[in-house]
Amino acid sequence: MATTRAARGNDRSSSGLRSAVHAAWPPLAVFVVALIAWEVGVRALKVPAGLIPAPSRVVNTLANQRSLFLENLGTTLSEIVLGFVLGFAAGILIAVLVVYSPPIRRAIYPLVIVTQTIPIVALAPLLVIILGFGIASKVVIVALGVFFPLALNGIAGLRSADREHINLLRSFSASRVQIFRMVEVPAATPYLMTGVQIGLVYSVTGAVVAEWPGAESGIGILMVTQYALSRTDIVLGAVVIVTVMAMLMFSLPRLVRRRLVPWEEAP
Amino acid sequence: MLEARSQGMLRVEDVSKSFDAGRLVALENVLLEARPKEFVSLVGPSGCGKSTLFNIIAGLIEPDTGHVSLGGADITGTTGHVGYMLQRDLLLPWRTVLDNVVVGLDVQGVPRSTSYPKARDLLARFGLARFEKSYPSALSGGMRQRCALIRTILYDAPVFLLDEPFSALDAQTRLLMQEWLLDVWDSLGKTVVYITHDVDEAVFLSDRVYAMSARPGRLIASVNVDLHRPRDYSARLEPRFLELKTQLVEIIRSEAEKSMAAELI
Repeated sequence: MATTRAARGNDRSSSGLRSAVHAAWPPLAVFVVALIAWEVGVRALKVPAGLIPAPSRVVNTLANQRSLFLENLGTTLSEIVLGFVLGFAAGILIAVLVVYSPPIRRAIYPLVIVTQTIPIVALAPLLVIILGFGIASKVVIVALGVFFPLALNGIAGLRSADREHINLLRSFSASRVQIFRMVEVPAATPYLMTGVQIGLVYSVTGAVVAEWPGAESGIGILMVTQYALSRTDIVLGAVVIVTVMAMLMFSLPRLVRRRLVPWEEAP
Repeated sequence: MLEARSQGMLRVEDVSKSFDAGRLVALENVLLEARPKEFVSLVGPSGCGKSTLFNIIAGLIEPDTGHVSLGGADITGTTGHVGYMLQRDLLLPWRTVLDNVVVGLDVQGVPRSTSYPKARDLLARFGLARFEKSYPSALSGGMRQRCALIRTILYDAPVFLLDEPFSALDAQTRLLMQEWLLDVWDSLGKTVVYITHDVDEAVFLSDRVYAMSARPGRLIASVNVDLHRPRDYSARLEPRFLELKTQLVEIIRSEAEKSMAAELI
């Protein structure tokens, strides 16, 4: 019994891998062709490296300047992690308060909606003035951006709990906390996963852009300073790093989702 | 909590309930009794307040007047005295079959080392042993309702309240589930209050059938079902079965006609 299930599981994941490869190769082929065209074009037309660097040059720079990239990447990653944790905690807290306290709902929910309309990135220069060149202003920008999708999805998720599931637990004399833990939180989990996914992708762009008005180090400020020096190869190298980070941030929750929401993929 | 559960007479006394600031009267002076280990059914047209009465007995809502007692103790507006099963199975999608059937015991803080063996016994008895690790979405409607029934059995309340539990199932599965339910009831000795709009089902299952009027819901008749026990499929073929069924259908029909006539005026 156990072995057949395991076998079936393997089957599914290997066919999943096969279909993933099947889906991935056409865009990958287009991407590679575009890179080759770029490389050949830049070499044939002798475009100055400061204007458009060849892909090979960007790869070379990424390899040669490893320590420069890694150092700055470390700063940006700390901004992302700290900002995400803060925004996540605040988002969940507000969601719980809004759902379970009617006075707080009336007072805060409209403000939560309004915070979405604030162009958070536009606050970056102001925050650098207030909080300085360190990572604090960037952490705040990331946290604000993560807060909103988490709060909204948290509210929608907690409210999505089935009234009759709650009544069933009430008929067992369940306490408010038990109903929260056994019905409302699991019902909210898929929503929260979506919020996390949106928040993580935002946090990469948020951190990079938040560094632009001024920072001590980080991938974003590296872009700005190297741009001023016409080191477009380093700028593009930074872009590659940011893109890879964003892609990882997007796929990470999808991998965890199967573990956290196993009932979703039940056949 | 468990020790406070008395195995006594369930009494619904003079219960009335209205909604919408009195504009919608759901129940009017409802009197109902179920002796210990008795199987009682409530039949009536849709919208007669059956489910409101059900929620009042379960303690989920409070009546405007009247009270509910069990073994002489007032249980009006208090929960935990009845096992509760609806047309919807209400299995939690994020719990496996095994974890779903023990949810009532989880709430009471019964350790899994105690609840799992009991649950596995029942799952085996109901042909669900192979599915204990499955999520509800992988089960058929009949299997899901069996899980809901096992969940109700495991909670082990003295009274089972069943609100049209099999009405969403296909005819064959429904007949099977009815016989299963009688088996369970016979072996556990629980008081059952069963809500249905299916007169056939009510007569087949019950010791006594209460008929309810259309809104506002009132009890208009109580019919004793004197068919022998234990019953199986053949009970439906007895002349006495048909007599009782006809008697009830006529009561309910005349009541429905009255309310339709009232609506037309």
